[in-house]
This record gives sequence, structure tokens and C-alpha cells, in this order.
Amino acid sequence: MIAVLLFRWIYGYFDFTVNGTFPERFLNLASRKGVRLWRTSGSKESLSASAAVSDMQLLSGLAKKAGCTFTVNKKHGLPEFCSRYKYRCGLLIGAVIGSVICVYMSGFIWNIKINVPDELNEYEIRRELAQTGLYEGVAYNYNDISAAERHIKMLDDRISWISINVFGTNAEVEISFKRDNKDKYAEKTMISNMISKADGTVTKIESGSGKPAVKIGAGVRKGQLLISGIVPYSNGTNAFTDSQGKVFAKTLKKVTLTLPKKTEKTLTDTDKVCIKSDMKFAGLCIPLTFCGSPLTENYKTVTEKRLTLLGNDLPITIKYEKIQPYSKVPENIRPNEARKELERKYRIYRTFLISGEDITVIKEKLSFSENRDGYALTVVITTEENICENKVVKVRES
Amino acid sequence: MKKHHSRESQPFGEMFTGIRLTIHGNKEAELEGSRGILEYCSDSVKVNAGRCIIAFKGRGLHLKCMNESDLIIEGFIISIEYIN
Repeated sequence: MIAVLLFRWIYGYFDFTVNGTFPERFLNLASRKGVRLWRTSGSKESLSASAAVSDMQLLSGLAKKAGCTFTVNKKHGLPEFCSRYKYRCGLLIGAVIGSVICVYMSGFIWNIKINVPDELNEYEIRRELAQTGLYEGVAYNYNDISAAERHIKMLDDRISWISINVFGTNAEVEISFKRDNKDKYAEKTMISNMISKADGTVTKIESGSGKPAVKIGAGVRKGQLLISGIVPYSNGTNAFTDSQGKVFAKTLKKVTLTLPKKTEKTLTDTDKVCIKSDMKFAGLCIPLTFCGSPLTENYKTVTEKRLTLLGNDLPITIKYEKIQPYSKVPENIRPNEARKELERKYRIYRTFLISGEDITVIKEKLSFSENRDGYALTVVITTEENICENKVVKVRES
Repeated sequence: MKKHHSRESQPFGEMFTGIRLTIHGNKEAELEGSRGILEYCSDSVKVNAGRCIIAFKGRGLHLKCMNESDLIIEGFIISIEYIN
């Protein structure tokens, strides 16, 4: 039935009404002439039906012959559609151009999706792929893709498998690493000692495996053995283990932070901030704003935003570039300002470098001094910390 | 010797030779051997079947399709009458 409707639409049809005293005569004449009618509905003195456009003239003549009036109500189908829009060739040209563009653009890769392990940087992979000729906006070519696969595989020894699948205009890159069972086995059979990473006086020993080589109250030097991985038995033999444990010692640290007397202060001018935006499409960079770059020194902050539609990435990237001009002004630092600044730096140092569960600050002594070049803050810190450091023992079979 | 029959004395079966009427429930009737439509409106369709007239009565009757000798009537058919 759909095929019949389609053919009728392609060849065109029309609805008509025949009025007269005897419309049945028109029906009989039409059937004798072999004219196909459908959707016929009649009343006492009128008859409505549909017929092919090619039979219009014939039906009009038959209606006259039957003594009826023939009225065309509406025309349907492709010929009518074409005649309606015959003076609007722009529509046809636009449809043809649109179709050609769609077909042509389908031959390019517009989106590259990369699924890589956490150890690999997606940006770097994208850059390497671009070097081999696979980037957004490139014409699809199977040889290029296999070359890109080979290139990426040779980049890193850990890569065991890579595949680049192209679905329509999207390329999906999948990379997986080798399973490293050998190292796990080596870790299990490793022999190691614990040695000291700083000078100090031992206050506490928490030995897991291995034999402690120092006692509480003993003074130790940097690099001295604290816990041995070689455990002697009473029968004269030795057991080799991966020594584990913690040795806490009281240590002294001396930190000196300096600041010059003369420095340069950076002044930013917020009124002159310039935001440039560009649109990246098919390897082209189209500027969207024309503010230009300031001639003075400036900071640049670049942000890229990829456009998406219904959850799918589009091959269009908008790049925002925030340009902040600045100027440097020489500045003399006063002693109290220098002290405050150095103490602030020390607090940062202490937060990030002398913190954790294995270290406790017992005492700290700050001394501020001034010389010809600048200011200095010397801090002597007394801590109790875990001074153990693991050192692998290399065993050679003879 | 050639035998002549008057219209009244014609056997009943002979009257319908050359036509075939197929009825699908009460919604559709196919008639083969039609010689023209005599009356056509939504509650009555009369068809010339040569030696008799076949009258379809019902509601919403319409011609689904027709050609020189065959036609299909669709609609809610209440009765079919053979008028001699």
C-alpha cells in the first residue's frame, strides 16, 4: 500500500468533484475509458474522487459528456510540489549544495575521542597523532590510521595494544598497557635494609621485619644501618628479608630563608585586560574578536572549550585568551616587612616540608638578621621523626 | 430446434451467469462482471449486472476502486438485493 501511495505521489494526483443530475454516468464513462479513481464518495447529485493528474483532461471531457460540472479541488504530489516552487530555484540549489556538502564532509574525521590509561597524557597522544596526520578535520585515509597506530605503539614500551576505530566521522583511540607481572615477583623476593636519612639520637624503634641494628639512645649518622634485612639464625644460617619498620630519632634542622633589600613589584592594570577568542574548525583558527595584543609585558591565560550537541562533541573549539598587561616597579623592602614576608615563607615551608604523621616539631628557634645584600631568617628546628630509608640489597649469584 | 425463453420463464441460475460477487463480512463486496453504476450515494449503490440489478444498501458506502467490469464496494453493508 505504501508503494502505491508513493507512486501516486510521484506521478501526482488531484481531488475533484462532479456535480450534476446523474454523476453515476460519469463513473461509468470513466471506468469504460480505464481511468483509475479512488477515494470516491457520492451523494445524490455530486461525486468526489481522486485521480491521476495525467487523467485530468480526459475526466474533464467525460464530465462534460455526462452533463456534469467538473471542479478540481486540490492537487497533490511531486509535479504539483515542483510547479509550486518552480520560481524559487534557490531552495533547490540550497538543497543540492547542502547534500553535496554533507556527502563531502562525511569523508573527514571531525572528532577524536581518546581513552588512555591514567599514566599517559591525553594531550600528548593527541599531539603525536596530529604529527602522524590524524587530527580533527583530516580526510579519512586507512593508511594514515595504521601509520598512526604504529607510531603511538613505538612511543612507549608499556603500550601493548592500540586501536583506532573510525565510526562515521568519529575516531576512537583505545590504548592499553602491558601487565607487569615480572616486577611484582621481583618486589616479593627483594632484600632490603633500612638506613638513616639524617643525623640524630634514636628515641623509638618500631621494627616490622628484619633485625634492628641500633638501640634507643644511640646516636646515628646519615647513611648508617638501622634495620638489617639479613637475619642470622642460631644454626649459623641467614634469612634474607625485605626489612620493614620505623626508627624515630631526635634531629636538628637548620633552614635559612633570604630576601633581597631591593625587589620589583608587579602592578597589574585590570582596566586593560583583553580577552581574545578564536574558533578552531577543520584545522583553521578563525578570530572572533579583534582586540589585538598589548605591546607591554603581559600574562596570558588560555582556555579551550569544546562545543557539544546532545552529548556529542562537535569539531568546533572556542579558544579564550585572557591577556593581562603588567608593569614592574622597583621597591625597597623595610626590615619589618621583610621579617613578615620571611615568616610567611617559613610557615609555607613548614606546612609542606615538615608535616606528616612520622614527624613532630619539638622546638623551633627563629633568628632574623640583616646584612648588606638583604635579609635572612634562620630557623633551627628540633624534631622527632622517622629517619628510616629503604635501601635495596643487590644479591649476585656466584 | 431452437428454444426461446421469455424473461419470466428464464431459469434463476442463468440470470446471474457472467457475474461473480464476493462478500467479505459486511464491510466489503467485490463484484466482477459489472456493466455500470446506476445509482451511487453513501447509503445505496445500484450496479447494472446485465440481466439484473444488484442493490447494495448500508451506511458510508463508497467505491474503493473500479474499472470497466469490476468494482469493490466498501462500507457497512446492511442488505444486498437482486432486482430482476
